[in-house]
Amino acid sequence: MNSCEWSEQVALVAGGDLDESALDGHLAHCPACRELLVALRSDREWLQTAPVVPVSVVSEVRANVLRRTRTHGRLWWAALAAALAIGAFWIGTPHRDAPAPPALVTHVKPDVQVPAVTTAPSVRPPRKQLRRSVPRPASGGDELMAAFAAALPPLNSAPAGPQADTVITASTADPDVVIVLIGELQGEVNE
Amino acid sequence: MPDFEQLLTQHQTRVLSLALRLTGNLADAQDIAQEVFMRLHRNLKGLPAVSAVAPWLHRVTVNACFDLGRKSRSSRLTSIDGLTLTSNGPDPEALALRQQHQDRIQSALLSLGERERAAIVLRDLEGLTTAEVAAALGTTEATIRVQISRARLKLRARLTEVRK
Repeated sequence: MNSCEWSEQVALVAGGDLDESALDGHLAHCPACRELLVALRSDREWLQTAPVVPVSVVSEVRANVLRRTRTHGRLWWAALAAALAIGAFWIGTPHRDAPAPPALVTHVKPDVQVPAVTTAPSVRPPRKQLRRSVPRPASGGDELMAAFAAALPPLNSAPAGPQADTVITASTADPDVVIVLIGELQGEVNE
Repeated sequence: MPDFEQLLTQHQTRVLSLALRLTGNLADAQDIAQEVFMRLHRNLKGLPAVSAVAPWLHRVTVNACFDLGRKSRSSRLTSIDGLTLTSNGPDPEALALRQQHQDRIQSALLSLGERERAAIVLRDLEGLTTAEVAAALGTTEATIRVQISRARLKLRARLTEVRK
């Protein structure tokens, strides 16, 4: 192996990466580098006689690539068609997320006896009455609340006797879900 | 946009032989060539011009070979089986001698580090300029010159050892 400090430059000259004239002076009196240059050029020539990949291998690679690109294209179309089909199905189907309005069954517990409450007159306006005086558009929830309000006794009327709790049971489309509203008398009652 | 099949026809042999030189294994070279062309197919719209395809293919092929080398980490110093060499004459003896020499060169090439091997294969086999090799390997021309000169000297040393 050539241990001359110029060997890397010689290697560049061998591949045409450096002009030979740059090393003329050194090569003239260094036989090892001249020999190295010849050997490196020979190696390069051998290196350039690359093995020829058989035509059958090239054809196989080509066929595989073309098959995969076509499959790839078909997959795109299939995915698009599937997405369109799902979209069309979704649009054409009734919206199943919308809750069915609850069927209301209102009843008052007659057997629960609550003692009459008598307190000093209050100056506070009856809040329930005010709330009931404002009409709102009907919805599932409003319908439920309206039924609840209707079942309650008038708040500004004097209690004529023992008052009962108001219980409203609202059954929904799901048999396992039942909404129960309990109206409990609390605080002052206007006389 | 360039036609994919035309590009495949134009570059398929070159990509295969580059992958073969870098991996030293025909099956790996086939897999890499297929992946490289599938990537080309996916990225065809992003390439600015037909002239950009060859440098792009060099870069992607070299990177795919590096990735494979990192995954396997076992340099398979096998001869390139099943391949034929070009021959000017019908002399079977000369052909056998050439085959033997090719195996030595391939073995010597695989003994180089992956970046030196890529540099010398692109420069001396593919005939790319130093600037093109630098672009393909994502480095500077100065670095490529150093890698190429060292690779040539290592190759020479390896071939001298084999002959002894």
